[in-house]
Amino acid sequence: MLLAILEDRMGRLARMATFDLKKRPEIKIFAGGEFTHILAELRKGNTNMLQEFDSIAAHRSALKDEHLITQLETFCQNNKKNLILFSGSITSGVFRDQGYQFLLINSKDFYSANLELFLEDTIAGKKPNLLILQFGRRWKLSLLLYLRNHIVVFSNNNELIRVSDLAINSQIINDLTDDTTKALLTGNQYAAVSPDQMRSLRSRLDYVINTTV
Amino acid sequence: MKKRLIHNNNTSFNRKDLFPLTEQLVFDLPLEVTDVDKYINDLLRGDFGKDLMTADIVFIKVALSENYLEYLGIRLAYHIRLTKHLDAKANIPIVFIAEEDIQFIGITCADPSILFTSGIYRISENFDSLKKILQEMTQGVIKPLTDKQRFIDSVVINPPANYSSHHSIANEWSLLRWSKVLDLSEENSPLKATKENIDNLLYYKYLLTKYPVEGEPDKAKYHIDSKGKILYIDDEWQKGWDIVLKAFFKLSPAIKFSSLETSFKEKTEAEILELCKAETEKIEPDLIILDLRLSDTDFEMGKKPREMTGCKVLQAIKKINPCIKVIIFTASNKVWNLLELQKEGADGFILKESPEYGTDRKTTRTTIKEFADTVKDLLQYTFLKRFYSMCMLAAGELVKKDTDEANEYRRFINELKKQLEIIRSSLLLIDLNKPSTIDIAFLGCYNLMEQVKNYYLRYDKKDYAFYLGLDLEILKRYSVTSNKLSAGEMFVPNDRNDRPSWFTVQAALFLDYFRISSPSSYQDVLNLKSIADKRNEFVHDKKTGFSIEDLGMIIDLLYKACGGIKE
Repeated sequence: MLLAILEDRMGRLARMATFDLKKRPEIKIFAGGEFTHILAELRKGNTNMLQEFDSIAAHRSALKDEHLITQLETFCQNNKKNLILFSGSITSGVFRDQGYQFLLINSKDFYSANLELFLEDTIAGKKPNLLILQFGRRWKLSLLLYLRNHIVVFSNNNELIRVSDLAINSQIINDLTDDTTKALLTGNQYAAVSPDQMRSLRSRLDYVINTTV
Repeated sequence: MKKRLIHNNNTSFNRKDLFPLTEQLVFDLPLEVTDVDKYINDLLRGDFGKDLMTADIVFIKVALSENYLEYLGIRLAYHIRLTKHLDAKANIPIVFIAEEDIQFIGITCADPSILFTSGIYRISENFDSLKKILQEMTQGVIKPLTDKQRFIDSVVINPPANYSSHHSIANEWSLLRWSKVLDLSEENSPLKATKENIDNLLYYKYLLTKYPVEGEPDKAKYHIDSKGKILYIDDEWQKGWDIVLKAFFKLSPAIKFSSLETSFKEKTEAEILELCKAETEKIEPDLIILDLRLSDTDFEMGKKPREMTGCKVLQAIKKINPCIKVIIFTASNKVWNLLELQKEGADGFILKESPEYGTDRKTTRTTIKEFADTVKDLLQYTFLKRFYSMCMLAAGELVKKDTDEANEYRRFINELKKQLEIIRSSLLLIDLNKPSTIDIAFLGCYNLMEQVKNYYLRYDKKDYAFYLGLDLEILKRYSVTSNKLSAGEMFVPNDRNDRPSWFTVQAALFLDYFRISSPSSYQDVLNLKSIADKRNEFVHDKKTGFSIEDLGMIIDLLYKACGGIKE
């Protein structure tokens, strides 16, 4: 299954959700008795019931016990599961991708239409992408802008770099590939990037960014 | 020129020849940090803040995390502008470093308005741009923000998503302002949490800059010289309102204040309703301060006040006793909503201030003063709660005395029930500014006792004497002189005009027929005499009206009379 939601406040879920989560077969909501049960199991160190999910979303405040948050983080890290911690008190979302995707997000943002987009994207066979939860349809823009900044810094520093140094996120490679960048993006990852290639990539990047907006 | 550079190891300007290490701050949100605003606020309160106090210009990378669109650089800039303790340095020239132009960032950033204010500059990530702006700084072209008011009027900062409910904002905002005016120490834990939240949260920094508040307590104004029990029902009592209101009522020692201390979260509306009813029956408050939104479901869009849990609690309270006064403590200022609640029996409204309306200091003080006045005014009516309860108990006695047989006695009981209804309605209409409303209630009670008198008084034509009831209990000529009761002879009229008075019959009923009083304990009879005299004085224009004490006395007697009724 795609997503487990550990929620102790179903009233809030019902209030905030922009679609009927209970009707989505990709989601399993652990609420009420099931929530209490899963918390008890986590306290015992048992994470078996979470194994079948690609992503786990939990109400951070409900896992008051810091130990449980750490345990959940460790479980997700070890098992390459995506972890979403949501709470009403989170003022500004934070995303990290360090071996596993981790997202801190405000509850209302989590239960927004972006959640539906996230599910649709994943059902289409793509890898779960928490950036969609954070930014909706504009999620790629964040990766594109980051890459552009990366390129500018390399260029300014006149560093000799390899293709792999650009650390281009695989999710935007297709968008960046055209006749001028194909060789760079699909070629040897350890090859040096020439100034011309850098210019072409930058040019393509500017174009994709502008069309995305 | 002292310059500072804030980055996330994501700039080529971090070369030592451009910005020595002492001029750089690496903004790197630690993994364990879950509150960006708090992290920034801690930075500004710590060494970085101190360092900033000596700077002339600050360069900030527009993105301070790998997740570019988070635009943490912009958030940091807002914090710099709105952090009070930075004083004049809050206006320092800020230069954003970004490949994107201002328009692009404006489209893609959630809160972009700072970009269009004075004192904000933007350069591309290239050395020429940096050189140029540094030159302009030396030439005095680059200027700090000079007009803070204009800045605050131009920027728009959206509340965090979960704060989009107006209720939460008004609640915390109002709480802080009340605590300031009441001069409460923020060391109290729930208040401290709210204060910290307000200190850290960018949205509140914005509001506090826009609508500054300073406590100038004038506590004497808030003293309420009335007595009474007050119950506070609010799902957010723990967030500090409980402390603020406790402190507020501490200024009035004759008031006993308590809160419904329970966790409202995850309770259903029905459970909340039951809890509120149980607490009301247990505490027997004279006044309830009630929040409208008590359950998660109350936050659903388009929910009408009548559908809210608070309104259902209001209805339940009024069912227990409609004379328990209820003040609605709300963040809604929609008149039609308030009118609807008034129809349900709400006796007063206190609006939690909101940044959206009424935000100057005077408003907070005025609101608190109005709150004190409303409480004082409503507590003047505490007597009604007892009077109404007595009437309900009297009605209960009548139910007990009722019969299934369709006879004269049943008609009598039904008439008394109807009269009690009238009395209860008249109690609800009592307005201390209109003394005649007390007279109406009093006379209603008097009439009921008159009905009792008329039912039991019998004249026997055989021996020309008056008796009581079917038992033909002898009616004595009771009289009171200097608070002394004397029984007198059997009532045989001396002439056609010699009829038993209201008092004579009531005294005989109380002493001989109902046996409520006895010749050795006859305070009730003295009270009956007092009531009869006052009523006669009123009818003969020797008395202008009745007092609350008179009304209380006759209701007490009425209750006892109803208890004594027998077939």
